[in-house]
Amino acid sequence: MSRAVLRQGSDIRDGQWHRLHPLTPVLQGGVIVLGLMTVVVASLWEGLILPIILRVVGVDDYDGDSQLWNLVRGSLGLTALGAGVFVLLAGAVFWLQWRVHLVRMDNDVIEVKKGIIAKSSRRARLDRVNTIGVRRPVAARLLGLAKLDIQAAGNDATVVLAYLPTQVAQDVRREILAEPSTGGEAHEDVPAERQVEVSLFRYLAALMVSVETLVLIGVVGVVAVVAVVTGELTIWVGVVIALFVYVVYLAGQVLRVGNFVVDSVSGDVRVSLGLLSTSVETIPPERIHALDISQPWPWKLFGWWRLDANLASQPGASNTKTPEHTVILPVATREEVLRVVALCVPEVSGEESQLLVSQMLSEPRATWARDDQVSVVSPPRAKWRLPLSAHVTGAVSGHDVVLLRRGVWVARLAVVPLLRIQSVSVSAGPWHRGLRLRRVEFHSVQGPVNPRVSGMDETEAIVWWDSVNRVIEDAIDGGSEAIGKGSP
Amino acid sequence: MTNADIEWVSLSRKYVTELTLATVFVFLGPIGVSTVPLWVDDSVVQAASWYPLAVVLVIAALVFWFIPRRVRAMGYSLRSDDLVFRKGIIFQRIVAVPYGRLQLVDVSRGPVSRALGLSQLRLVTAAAATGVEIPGLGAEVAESLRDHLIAVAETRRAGL
Repeated sequence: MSRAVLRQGSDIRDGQWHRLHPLTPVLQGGVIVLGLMTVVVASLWEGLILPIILRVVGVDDYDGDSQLWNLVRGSLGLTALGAGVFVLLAGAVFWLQWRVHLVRMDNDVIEVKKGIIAKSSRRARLDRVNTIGVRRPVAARLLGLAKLDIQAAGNDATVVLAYLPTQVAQDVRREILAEPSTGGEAHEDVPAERQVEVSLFRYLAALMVSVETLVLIGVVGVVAVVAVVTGELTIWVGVVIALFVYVVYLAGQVLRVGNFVVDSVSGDVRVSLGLLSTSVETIPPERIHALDISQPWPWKLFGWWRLDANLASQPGASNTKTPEHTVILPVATREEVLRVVALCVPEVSGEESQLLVSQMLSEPRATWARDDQVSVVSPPRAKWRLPLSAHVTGAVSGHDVVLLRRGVWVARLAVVPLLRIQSVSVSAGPWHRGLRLRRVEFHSVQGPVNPRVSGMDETEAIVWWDSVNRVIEDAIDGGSEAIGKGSP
Repeated sequence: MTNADIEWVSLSRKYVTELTLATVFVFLGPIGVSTVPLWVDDSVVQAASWYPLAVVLVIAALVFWFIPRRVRAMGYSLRSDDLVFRKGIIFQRIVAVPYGRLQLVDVSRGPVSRALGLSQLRLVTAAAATGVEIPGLGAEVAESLRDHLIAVAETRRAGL
């Protein structure tokens, strides 16, 4: 039985076992090898490597009396033999690992098995595949390789296909998704439409216009004054360290999240990010359970917003440094955010709902809150519980979505499609109860979005909770009917 | 709590007994620890040696006094489209779980509840925050409730 290396995406269809790219073990064991190398170099530097370099460079008068160096000089052949054996052994292990790392796909499942001593085998049913992310860590990218993060429905149901040449990876991805049993995302050939491109400059600026920066400036200012007054020079060391940490943090964020692009591909949202290591993920709207549009107060000056989402299945394989794809937009203008929100939640793509979202984001509550059962706002006495945000807090329930507005320091608007809400609670602690207030909370899948509003009037909150429940249940019944019609 | 026209089903009275027993076990440790000063033969502690035990006993009395009220505050209601569960005196909470969102219904019983013939029903949706656990149900009630919920959830499932 031939086990050919996967060279063409379409080859995977034949149902046979295939090998992955020969460099896979090197890339996957790369971190360990790099770590070992560092340890070896560090421990041998003084005794061995430095003398060799000095000798090669021609500085012969190295007068170190390192025992190790003397030993090596005494038995050069033996050392070379040792190094050779080590390299051969590592090569053999890598080769064996590559031999047993196989992938197979038939009409129903895709299966990956690997491991010499600790064997592992993972399979995912093709009809349960939600989405496939393409990840390219720096080292792999330099070699023109990529890996696939195949996410299936269910907890921890991820199959990782690493590594393949980038083109092959993309073809394999298309092959898996083109399988008739897979729902959605079938028409991959539709050209992508560029929606938002977050320029590196804007991202960096947004990172710097933050509360953290203000705190840093404040601390540095105070320290500088203290240093000048006392004339103590050592204090400046602290400032330099703080600035260094800050710059490293900025650089890390920019490298990881920089080059952020959002495309729409036949109704799905495609998010690409990363400067050196890149990652691409296609998110169908059905997977988006809740959205959160937020604005820390320094961003108000520039009208910037951030967009996060709760997704039905998380990218798996947390050990492979998967970037968090719950960030849909790290920083964008209001128009861009509205456009992407309409993509993510088609229910709010209508003109009217777009206007409502826009009003709830940046206009006073009086413009969007109506005196009916559809919207509910916090009464004036809620200022004893929410001293700053009582005048902005409120919620609106539409036919398809619930919109929840809260927060002043960090202004937030949660958008939750009714069909994705799991349950709704009304709760109150002692403080809330003392003021006859209630908190309404919508329960969504795990993620950064926590859709809730506090400080609602007791009676109004319960009436609203009850009416929203009714709308949700109607939506569920309507939704399941629609699904029933869709499938034969 | 002002909740319009929900007909609450309250929990079994035996649940008060279960909670009382469970609370006794919880307080055994603190009571034991708080008696330590009574055994220590030291004149400095002598005067105040009863204080820790007194504090623990007062707290225990409060907790025991609250148990029947806590049980009375809990209740559930099967409405046409959802199950509603309420609980809490100081921290009150009412949750509505649409039947179409149920993924799993779980019946469990510990040693104490088994002796009393009680079961606990846990509802699982895709959201961890739902967190509905209905304790203190008679064993048959819990089983029939589970079968009913699973049946209703089947017909209404809207998927994820």
